Amino acid sequence: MVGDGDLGETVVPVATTGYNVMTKMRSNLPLRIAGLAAGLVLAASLLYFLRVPASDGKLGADVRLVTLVPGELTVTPKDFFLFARGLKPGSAPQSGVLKVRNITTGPVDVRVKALPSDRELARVADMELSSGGRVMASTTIDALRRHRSGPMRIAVGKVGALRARVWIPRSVKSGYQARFADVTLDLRATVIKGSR
Amino acid sequence: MTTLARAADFTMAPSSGRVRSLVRGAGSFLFWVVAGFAAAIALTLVVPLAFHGRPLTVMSGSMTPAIRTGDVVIAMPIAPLAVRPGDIVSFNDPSRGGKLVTHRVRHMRREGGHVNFITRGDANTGVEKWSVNADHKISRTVLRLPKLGRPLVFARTRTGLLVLVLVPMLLLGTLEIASIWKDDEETEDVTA
Repeated sequence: MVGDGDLGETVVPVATTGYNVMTKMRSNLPLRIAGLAAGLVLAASLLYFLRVPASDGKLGADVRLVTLVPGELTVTPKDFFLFARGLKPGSAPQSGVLKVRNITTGPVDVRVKALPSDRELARVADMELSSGGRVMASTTIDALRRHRSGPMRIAVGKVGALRARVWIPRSVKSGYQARFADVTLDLRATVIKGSR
Repeated sequence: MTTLARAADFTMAPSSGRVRSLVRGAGSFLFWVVAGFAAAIALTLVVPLAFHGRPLTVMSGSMTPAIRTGDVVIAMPIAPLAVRPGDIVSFNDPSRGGKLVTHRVRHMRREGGHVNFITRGDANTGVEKWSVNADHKISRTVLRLPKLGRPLVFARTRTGLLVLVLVPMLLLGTLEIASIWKDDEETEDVTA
């Protein structure tokens, strides 16, 4: 017998609340298990994509293009504008763009020569240089070591985009595996006389 | 009017209760999804330890873009002769005073009881030359967990050191001084 109404209200719900909590926990259990399983599956699929598979032992070539810039020009980026990794015969060409600004008072013709650090790789790797859709050179890197490319004309104060593509032709059988070449592109600027 | 309002309350109550219950259920589900995900990641870091593997935090960008600063890699032991060019291995670099380095194998050759390696970071131009006894084990990277080691990288910066060491120290000091002050005031009150 409960004499006080307040006390009665306090006593009865305690048992009811405990019962409710137990019931709720039981009814929530499948939801929790489903959530936990979903989280585990999500993590497992993410980890699957993040795994680092063992190598097949056939390592491609790496080619990095850096620039040697004369006083008539400034370039961006200043360090390297292409780091082609894992080049293999027949794999897709890798490309990069160098922005070249003419800081002289007249238009300039820019010609490019390649100075590779690895001659053997330079003999088998091909490079194409183009500007505004016009191909300046398309040959082996080694050939570009001996002969300068065609000109890229840049007007006063303007910026020209030099696009370089590097690849290894499908016909190459050896001389590229696990090799690395730092190719310095030696830019030579010639101010065009008589035009302003 | 009162009767009508009560009737409306009666009809509205179950639907709002159902919405609340649905929201609560969705929240609980999401919580357990996150918990399951976190548990799986924690297990990924811990389980390799049982098989002599180890999680390593990458502190430099020498393997960019394959592995970036702040990534955690799981390195598992492997016999040197089982390594192939192209694999990413962790080794103690003799040219850096035995510092643990994780780089890609470019060349390897067995010479007598030793295996000679040439490794290079994907973003580096220089190589490391080192050798290991053919009977020993080195570690090969099998998994990369992006950005998981960022807090550790941050802790090694000057700002990180400031935030993680000096700030808690200052806070602790301040709290200690405050408690001493409070004690003194209470003692004064008692004596008064």
